[in-house]
Amino acid sequence: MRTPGAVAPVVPRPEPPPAAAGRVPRIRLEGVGKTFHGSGGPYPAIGHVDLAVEAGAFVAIVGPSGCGKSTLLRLVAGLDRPTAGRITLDGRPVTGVSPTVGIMFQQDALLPWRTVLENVALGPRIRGVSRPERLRRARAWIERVGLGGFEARYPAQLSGGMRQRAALAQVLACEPEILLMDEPFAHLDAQTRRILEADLLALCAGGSRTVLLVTHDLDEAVAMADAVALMTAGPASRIRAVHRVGLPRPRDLNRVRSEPAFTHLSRLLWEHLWEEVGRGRER
Amino acid sequence: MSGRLLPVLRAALLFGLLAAWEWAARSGALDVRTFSAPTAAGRLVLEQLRSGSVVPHFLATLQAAGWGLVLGFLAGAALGWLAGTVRWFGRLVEPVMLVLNAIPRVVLAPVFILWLGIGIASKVALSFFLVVVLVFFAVYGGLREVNPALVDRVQSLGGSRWDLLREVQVPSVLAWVFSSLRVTVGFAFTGAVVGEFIASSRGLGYLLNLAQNTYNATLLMATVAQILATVLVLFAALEWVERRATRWKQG
Repeated sequence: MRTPGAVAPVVPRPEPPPAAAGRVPRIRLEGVGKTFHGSGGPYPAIGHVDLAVEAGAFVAIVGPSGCGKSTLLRLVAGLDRPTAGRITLDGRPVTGVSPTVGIMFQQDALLPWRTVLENVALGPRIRGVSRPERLRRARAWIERVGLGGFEARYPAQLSGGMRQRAALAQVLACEPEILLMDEPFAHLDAQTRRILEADLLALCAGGSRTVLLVTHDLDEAVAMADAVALMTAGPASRIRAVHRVGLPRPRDLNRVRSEPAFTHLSRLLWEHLWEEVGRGRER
Repeated sequence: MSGRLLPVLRAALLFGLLAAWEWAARSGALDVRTFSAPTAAGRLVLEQLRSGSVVPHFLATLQAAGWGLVLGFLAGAALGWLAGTVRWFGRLVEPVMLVLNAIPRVVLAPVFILWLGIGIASKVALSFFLVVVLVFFAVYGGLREVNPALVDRVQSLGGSRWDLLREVQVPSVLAWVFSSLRVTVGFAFTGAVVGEFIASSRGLGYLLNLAQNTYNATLLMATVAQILATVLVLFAALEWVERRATRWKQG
C-alpha cells in the first residue's frame, strides 16, 4: 500500500478483518450508466462505472468538472435511476431513497422557514420518531456539530459554515449507515473548510459509517479518504482508477498534508486529472 | 441622513403642504369652492364621525372589499394551485391570466354594473376580479419557483409527497402570497371604491361621486382623507402580519 497506484476497484475498510473475502460490499455499482434525454438529444453522462465500497470505508470520488460525479452520487442515493447496470446496498438493489443513506449537498438546502432545531429534527420526524425523542436527538447532534445555542435561529441568520454544520447535523440525526456527500464544503472559505473537514472526520471516519465523498479538491480527497476514485472526463465517463491512501488513522488533517505519502498521491492524482482535463477538451 | 430624522422630515413636509394649502385657501389664491381647505375638510370628518353618518358608507365599502378579497383569494389560490400542479391546465390558463394581468381591470367596472346592477354584487365582482389575478400569480409563481434543492432535501430524508407539500410547497407559496398581500388588499379596496364611484347608493365611492356631482369640494376632500387613512391603517396592520409570518427571512 506504500506506492499508491491503480488497484482493483474494490475498496476495503482501513484494516480489513481476516474474514473480509467474500463479504457483500456495502455499496456496489456494476456497469452503471446514465444517459440523459434532453432537448439536445441523448447525453451519456456516465458510461460504465464499476465500484465496490466495503462497510466502514471512506471513499472520495474526484474527476474533471462535468464528469458526472454528482450524477453518480444521486444514483447511489436513489434520487435518480441509472439507465444501465445496477446499484446495490448490502446486496439489495437501490429502488428509491433508502433510510440507511444520508446525503449532504453542495448547497446546504436547509428549509429557510424552519429553525435549526426544526431542520435537524426533520429527518427523524419524517421517519416517524416521536416528538420528545426527535428533539432530544436533534439537540444532541446540534451540540456535536458545534452549533449549541443556535437552535432557535433561522438559516438566514447563520453564516455559510454554520449552515453547512446544521446540514451535517440534519443528515446525521437520521443516523445513516451510509453518508453521501456532494462537494459539501465547496462554497465555504478555506479556513472554515479545514475546520469542517476535521470535524467531519472526527464524526464519521473510523469505520462506523461508510462515506462516499464527491469533491473537486484533490488534497481534500487524499487527506480524508481511505481511497480516491478518479473519474475520466465526460461524456460517458467511467472510473479511471481507484487509489488507496496509505495514511494511518486517526489523521491530523494539518499534519497529514506534509507526509510523503500524501504529497506523492496528490501529485499523481493531479497528473492524471490533468490528462483527463486535456482529453475532455479535445472532445 | 439619520433614521430618526427622516420621519420628522416627512411629517414636516406633509404639515408644510397642508399649511400652504390652508394659507392659499384663506388668502384667496385658491378658490375654496373648488379646492376646499384642510381645516374645513377636517371639521367635516370630525362631524361625520361624531354623527356616525359615514359609518354605513364605510361598512358598505369594507363589506364589498372583504367579500371580493375572500372570494378572489379562494378562487385565485385554487386556480393557481391547479395551474402549478396540472401541467396542461397551467399552459391553458397562464396566457389568459397574463393578458388579464396586463390590462387595467377596472375598465370592466361598467360591465359588472350593467350585468349585476348597482347593488353590492357588482362591487364584489370588480374587487374579486382585481384580486383573483394577483393571487393566481402569487400561488402559481410560488409553486413554480420552489427551490429544487429543497425538494431533493426532503426526498433524500425519505419524505413523502405529503411531506413535500407541507415542508416545501405550502411554505414557498405562502411566502409569495404574503409578499403580495398588501397589493392584493389594496386592489380589493380599489375594486370596491371604483365600483361604488360609478353607480351605487352607498359606500365611500358613492360619497366621492356625490361630492363631485354636487360640487362639494369639502366632502370630496374629507372622503379622500378617510379612504387614505383606512388604507394606511390596513397597510400598517398587514405589514405587521407579513413581518411576523416571514420572520425567517430576516437575517
